[in-house]
This record gives sequence, structure tokens and C-alpha cells, in this order.
Amino acid sequence: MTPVNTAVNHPSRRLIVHLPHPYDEARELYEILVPEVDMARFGQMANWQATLELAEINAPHGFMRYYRSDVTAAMAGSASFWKATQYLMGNHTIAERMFHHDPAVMLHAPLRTVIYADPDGDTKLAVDQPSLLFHSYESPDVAKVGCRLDYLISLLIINMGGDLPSELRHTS
Amino acid sequence: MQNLTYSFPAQAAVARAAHVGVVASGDLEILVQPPDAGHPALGRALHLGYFLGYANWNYFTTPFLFSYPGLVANEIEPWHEAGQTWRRLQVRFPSSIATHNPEQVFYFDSTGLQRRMDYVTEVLGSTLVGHYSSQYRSFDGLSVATRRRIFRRNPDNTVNLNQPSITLDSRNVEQCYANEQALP
Repeated sequence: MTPVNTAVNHPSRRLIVHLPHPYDEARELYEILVPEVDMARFGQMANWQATLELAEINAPHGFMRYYRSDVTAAMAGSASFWKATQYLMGNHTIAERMFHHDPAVMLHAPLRTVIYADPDGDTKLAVDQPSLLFHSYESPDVAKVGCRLDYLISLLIINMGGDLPSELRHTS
Repeated sequence: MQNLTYSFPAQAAVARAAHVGVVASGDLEILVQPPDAGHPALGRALHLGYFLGYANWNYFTTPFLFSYPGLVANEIEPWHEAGQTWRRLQVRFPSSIATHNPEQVFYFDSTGLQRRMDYVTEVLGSTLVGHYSSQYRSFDGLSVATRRRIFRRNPDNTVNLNQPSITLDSRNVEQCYANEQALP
């Protein structure tokens, strides 16, 4: 291993998707489509095959929730009163296909997502496009999984009633 | 859906609702009622054909099967599993329907898709079973689970994923209409 620091410049694309439902309904729908990860049960799995099976049950649409923070509540009392919730969303059995090649990929897995109401009251979903993040690791195997994550993001947007951004249309 | 066909080496099994037969050389079909199919003299192929026939007929016709005469369904308390809450339907089958056992429980997610079913495989040592269905795909407008995994179920109703499962994957589903006049 070379004892030098490295810096990687890479392109990133933030997707901001308009959602048709009011903020609270959109958040509820998102949390149905992206269930909370059952880490206690994952800890009981005796082998990786069992872990894969549990992920299939826990993530019917591909993603699980690893973290949720109600930003509105955290900012209560301040002059900032937006409705916003932030999440870490992913699937560690999918991430393993990248982690197998490079442990650094876990910098970008799980994915950060935010649901918020903008100044007009419209609901938005914000997420960085996974394929661009994971292409930066310069591994075809990692990049392939990044494209798979683009596809799963597309499914999520469709299931939430949003229109696919043109940058994701090739995945559907 | 009335007929299901399975390929075996040099044979095929044809399941017609609660009847099953093994076709040898493409010209012989024996239809057997469920009680007879359990007779050892009928051979392994017929046993396998019977099991696959009635099981898949049940899987592919659920939930429409619930409207059959004599079938009783009641909603019971919801079930929480893997970060989700599923509504449950307890179903009692009449003896006229060939199935795993008379009383089964079906689990549905908030979108109405079936995610799990519990039953006892009476033809296989009365094992407690938890059967998960996923990866739904639309075939001619009909949403079908293309991935099924069947595990041992514990007495407390949890499912042991650590043991190997029975796997059932569907690659294609074709709708056939027994009555052509029923076509849309």
C-alpha cells in the first residue's frame, strides 16, 4: 500500500424530484416503500444466504431505511421552519457487491435522501444520482452496481407518483 | 386458471385444479383425485406431480381462490415483520379444495400484495411453514409473484431463515382461458 494521500475529483448530480403528494403523505408513502432495516434480525442470520433472504423480505422494492431524522423537529424554535426529513437509504446486500472490490465505497452507501416542502409548499425528493457517485471509484464492477441503484431509484420515484428525471430514463 | 403443466425427463405432469396426472409418451393421462394420489403404488412422479400441481394451483389462483364456495376467511390481528406491518387473513378451506392443510394465514402489505403465507405441509410430515412471495411482475395485467421461498416456521410464528429453503421461481406466466367467450 502506498503511504500517500489521494484526492478524487468527480462529477455529481443532485436529482430533485417533484412529488404529487403533500409532504406528510409523501413521507408516509416513502417510509412504506423503504421500510426500516431490522438490524436485530439481521444480526441473527447465521450465514450470508440467510442475510440475502432477509434483505429480500425487508426491502420489497430494493431499499431499506438505516437512519431517519425529522429535521423540522430538530430545528424547532429556530427561525427556520421548513418541513424536511432526511434519511440514509440503501441495501447492504447490494452494497456488498461494491464493498467486495473497494471498502471506500461505503462513503456513499447508504445513500442520503431528503424529503422536504419547498417555499411554494410543493413536496420534493432530493438524492444524488448513485451511478455518478460510484463511477468515481474507477471499477467497472462498482460502476455496474451504481447503475443498478439508479434503476432502483427510478422505481422508487415511479412508485411515489413522480415523473422520472431525464437523467434516469435510460434505467427504466 | 385451470391447467398447469410441468416437465420431467421424458414425462410431463398435468394438473387440472384438484386433479393431477402424469403424461407418458404424450398420449396417456391419468387423472387422480387427491386421496388416491397419496397411494404409494402410484409412484414418485405422480406424487411429485400431485404436490406441484395442487401447490402451484393454489399459489397462482390466490387470492381469487378465496371466493370459492365453502371457503371462510376472517381478518386477524396485523403482523409486524422486517420493518413492515402486514394485514392478515385467516382462511379455512373446504375439503373439496386440495391444499396444504385446511387452515392457512395470508399476509398482505399496504399495497395489497401478498408477502407471506403460513401453512402446514400435511403431505410432507406436517411441517410448519412460512412461505414468502416477492418480485411481483405484471403478465397481461395480472400481478404475479415470481420469487417464492419456503422456510421452516417456529411455533411462535417467526420464520427460521437460517435453514435452506424450498425455492420456486417463475420466469413466464401465460394466461389461458378455458372458455374463449370469457376473453376480454
